[in-house]
Amino acid sequence: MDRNRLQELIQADLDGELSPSERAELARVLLQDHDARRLQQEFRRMHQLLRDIPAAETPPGLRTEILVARGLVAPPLESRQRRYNQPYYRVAAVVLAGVVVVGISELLRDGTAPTANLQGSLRAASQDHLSLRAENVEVRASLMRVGPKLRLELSSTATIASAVVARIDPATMALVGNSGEAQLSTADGQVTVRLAPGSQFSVLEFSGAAPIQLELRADGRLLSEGKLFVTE
Amino acid sequence: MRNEDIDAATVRDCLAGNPQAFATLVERYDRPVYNVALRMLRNSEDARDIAQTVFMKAYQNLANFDPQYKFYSWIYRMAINESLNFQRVRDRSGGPVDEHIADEGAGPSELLGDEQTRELVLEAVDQLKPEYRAVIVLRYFVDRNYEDMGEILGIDAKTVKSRLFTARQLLKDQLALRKLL
Repeated sequence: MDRNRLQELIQADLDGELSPSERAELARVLLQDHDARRLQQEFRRMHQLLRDIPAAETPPGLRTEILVARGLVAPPLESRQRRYNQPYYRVAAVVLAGVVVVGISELLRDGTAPTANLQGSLRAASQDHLSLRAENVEVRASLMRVGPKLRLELSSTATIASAVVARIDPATMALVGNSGEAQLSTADGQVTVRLAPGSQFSVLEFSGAAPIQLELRADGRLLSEGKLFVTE
Repeated sequence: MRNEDIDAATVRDCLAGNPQAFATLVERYDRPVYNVALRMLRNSEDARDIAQTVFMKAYQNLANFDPQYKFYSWIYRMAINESLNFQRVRDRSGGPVDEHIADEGAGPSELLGDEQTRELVLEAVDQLKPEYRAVIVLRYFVDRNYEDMGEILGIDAKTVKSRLFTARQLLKDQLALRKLL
C-alpha cells in the first residue's frame, strides 16, 4: 500500500472516521507489514500526547472582567488583583506565605500532625464550581472569595420554572447581598433563588465560610445537587 | 438539553432584550475560548486579552449571528481569527521568539516528567504554521469533529481532513525532533 494512503487510513482511524471497508483494508496491511504497525504506533503515541494535555483553567477574574466591561454585573467591591498590586499587600502576602510554610514544617515535624484533616481540606478546596443539569434546565455555579465576602454566581438556562436552593450553616454564614435580578426567598439556613424559563444570571453574596450545598429543584422534586467549596 | 439547544435558546433570550443571557454565554464559553487562544498563542496574558476581545465582539455583533450555524462555531471562529491577527501583529513587531530547538541532551520521553513532556508537545505545536496549528487546536483542545472544524474555519470537511493530515505529519516530525516519538 502507498504510504500516503496508509497514513490517511491511520489518521482516519484515530478520528473514528473509518468506513467498515477501510477498517478491513487497514487491518490487512497492519497484519502483514511491520513498518505499517510502527507508523500506526507513532501516530497513536502522538494522539495520546496531545490528549494528555489538560484544558487550562480560566484565569481568576476573567469572567467578572468580561461581564463588568459589558455592564452586566457591578464591579466587585474589592478587586483582589488591585489589592495585591499595592505594595503593603505584597509584603503581607510574603509574610503570610512564610508563616504558612513554617507552620506546615512544624506540623510535619510533629508526629501527631492531623494528616487526615489536611488531606480532606485539600480535596474540598478544588471544587469551587459545578454544573447542575437536568432535562430542561442547566445551572452553572461558581464560588469565589471577594474581599471578606463569598460571591456565588449562578448562571442558568431553563425551559421550565425551577429553583436553586443554597443550604448554608447559619451559625457560620449569612446572606449579605444579591444582584437585582435574583428573586429570592430565605429561611433558616437556606436561600432559594427562583429561576424563570430563559436565561438568568444571579449573584449572591455571603459572609462567613463555605461550604454551600446546592440543590436544583422543580415541582418540588430534587433534580440535581452538589457542594461548593471556595478555593482560597 | 443538547448544548446547541441551550445556546440557541440563550442567544434568542439575549436578542429579546435579556442582557443577563449574555452572562450565561460567557459562563459556558469563557474557558474554551481562553483555551483556543492560549494554545494558538502560548501566552496566558495574550490569551486573556483575546478572550476579552472575543466576548466584546460577540456582544456587539450578536444581532448578526446566523442561527443556522452553531453558536460555538461562531465564537470559536472569532477566537481563532483574533489569535491569528494578534500573532501577525506580534510577528511583524518582532515580539519575543521562543527557543525552538530541542535540547540535545534531552532523553527519551519516558525519562521526562509529565509537565516537561507537555511543554515539549506544546512547543512542537507552536512550530506549526498557523493554519495547521488551528486544526490541531480545534481537534485536540476543544474536541471538534471534521464538520465543526469546517464550520469554524469556513472550509469544507474534505479540506479539514487534508489539512489535519498534513498538520499531523508535520507535528510528528516535530515530536520526533524532541525525542517524544
